[in-house]
Amino acid sequence: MFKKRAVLAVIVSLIVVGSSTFGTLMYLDRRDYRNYLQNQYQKNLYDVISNVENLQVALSKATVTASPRQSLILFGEIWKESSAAQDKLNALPITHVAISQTSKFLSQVADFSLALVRANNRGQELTDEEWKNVEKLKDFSGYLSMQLKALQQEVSDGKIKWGEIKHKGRKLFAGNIQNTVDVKFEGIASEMQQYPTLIYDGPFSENVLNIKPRILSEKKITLEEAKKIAAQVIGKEKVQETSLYSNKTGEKIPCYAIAVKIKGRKDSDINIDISKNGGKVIYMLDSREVKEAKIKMKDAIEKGTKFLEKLGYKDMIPTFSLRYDNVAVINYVYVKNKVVVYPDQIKLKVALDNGDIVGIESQHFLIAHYDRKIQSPKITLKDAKKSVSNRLNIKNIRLCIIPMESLREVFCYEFYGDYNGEKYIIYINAFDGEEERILKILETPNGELTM
Amino acid sequence: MKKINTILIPLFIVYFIADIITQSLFLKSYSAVISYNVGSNNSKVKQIESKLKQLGFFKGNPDNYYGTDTREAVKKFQRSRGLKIDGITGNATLKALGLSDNQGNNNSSSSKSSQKTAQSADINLLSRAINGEARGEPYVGQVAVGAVIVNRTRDPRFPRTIAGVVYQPGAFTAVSDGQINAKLEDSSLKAARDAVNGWDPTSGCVFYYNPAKTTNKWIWSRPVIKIIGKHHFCK
Repeated sequence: MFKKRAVLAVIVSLIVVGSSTFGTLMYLDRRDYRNYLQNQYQKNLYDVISNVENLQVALSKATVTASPRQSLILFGEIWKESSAAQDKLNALPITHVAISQTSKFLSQVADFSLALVRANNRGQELTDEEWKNVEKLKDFSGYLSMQLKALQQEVSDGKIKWGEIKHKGRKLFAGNIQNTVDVKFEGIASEMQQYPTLIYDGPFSENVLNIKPRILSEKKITLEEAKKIAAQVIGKEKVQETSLYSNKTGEKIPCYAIAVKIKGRKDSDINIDISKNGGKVIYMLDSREVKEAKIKMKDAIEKGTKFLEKLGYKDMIPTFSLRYDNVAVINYVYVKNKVVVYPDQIKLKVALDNGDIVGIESQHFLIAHYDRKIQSPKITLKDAKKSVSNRLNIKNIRLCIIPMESLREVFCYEFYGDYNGEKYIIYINAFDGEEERILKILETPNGELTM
Repeated sequence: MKKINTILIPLFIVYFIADIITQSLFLKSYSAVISYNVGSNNSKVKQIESKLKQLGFFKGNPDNYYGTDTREAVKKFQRSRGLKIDGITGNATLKALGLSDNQGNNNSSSSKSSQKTAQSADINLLSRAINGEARGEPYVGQVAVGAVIVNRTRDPRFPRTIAGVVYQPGAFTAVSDGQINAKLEDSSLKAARDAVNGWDPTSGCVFYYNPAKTTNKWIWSRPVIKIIGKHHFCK
């Protein structure tokens, strides 16, 4: 009896000791992780602060420099510091609403300064408007730097703690929601909203953010008409039923979002969006399983071209094709008067088992396409060639229009060639002979460039 | 409590031992390496040389012999493709040349998995994010989630890279709860490719939420642009 109790007591105490040791170890472990995470956040915050400080210094130096070379270096520095600040800021555990304005500010400053570097490089002087903007950006970065430092002070004093992410569920019970990093950043955001509208040659410029699609100028169609168009695109004989899959539709290009049931198919529908204006396909996706490839790439490209003609897109040429498993993804661009218009681009997916079109992507085309006036180049081909490195072994030359990051379109000579077994495409401005862009063709076993 | 512990502890021990054993087993298993080097003499060498010639790296006439000229051409090719530069045509180089064997001793399952790992890092991560966030959604819904991530990289309010967007703290539930590491389904990879190639069923949205699960007031105040499956998409 006594022995039995002793054994029990030993077992129980072993369990107690074991589980409490386990618990303590777990607690220590957890504390280590928490500290590690907090330190990471803390480091990011310090980095953001020093980036923004450097940014402000560089911006103020830029306002007083007279030497173009010096300003080239300064704008390069601004670009670097603001990109880094934006990157670090987005790695902090703060809700999107709170930091989006600050993030946008840093993105645009980075972009704007890169555009200025490019302009400077071309020998263009900054306009008065641009100088004024630089001045304003300096003030805003000064404000941001001050606020961040105040925030950092409060964090290190322990008044504010990281970890809203972890304690989201407990927020209801938290007494002082006022003292969170989120709230602090929301305060900064309202001030940051007032920085000037920046228009420049870069992807985040306001004129890119607010572009209006060209297709919107066309006539509106009804739902019934849209359904008919959808059936025509997919093939009337295959269609069993059409319905709307979303009654809310896009705002950029308003559309009818149509799901098409295919005869004899159970699981997957085909989704196709038809624009309300002009009744054009915005995108189509068929997710059916594609069996073993029987069709060659060349024939697939041809089938795609014919399909586009059927849709009413004439004068489209293939520029690039990729093959994934048994599906070919082919890019087509519009050609007018032998000039390749790269902004007007449509992508098709062709199933290589039976040649069906299983995907259409023409949003870019619908946004960009209009009846352009094709100008003639101001500099001769011979002069343009002088701007191309003589190391490039040129294989093909043609005229084209390329979209810049700001969506501004540039008329260029396109030189396609190779150097050391690697393929390059170089674009030379057909008006001033400036080298606009260099593309390197990255070859993968499943991609092929068609020129 | 006691009973549970007495069952659990041995279980844990067994589990750890099993884990160590399986890990060491995996370390030992490696695939056979096929390679061609100077001195190799067979018909595959001719294939390699003709492919290199087609790509502009090899100048001579393709034959069955792997000479020093072949080695130099292979080195150039490897440099251009970012492969290890050793002049030896191994599995990786064969693959980059598009000449890897399918009829060899690789069985079908291993070649399939190697196809999956041969993705670019961005597509790989994007397909993982789609897999974690939108498994079980209709296919367009998966492409749409991918498109939202791609759209964010082009929005000044968000990070500029796919990794930055996916791993932004608190941005995606699947990242916070580890669902992103779940087993990858084929459709997620397909959807990721479509999204990267420009298919965007959301027409430019940068947010989405599942109305059944979201309590965030701010997101509810956004105008909904599209509804696909369980998700509401907005700007």
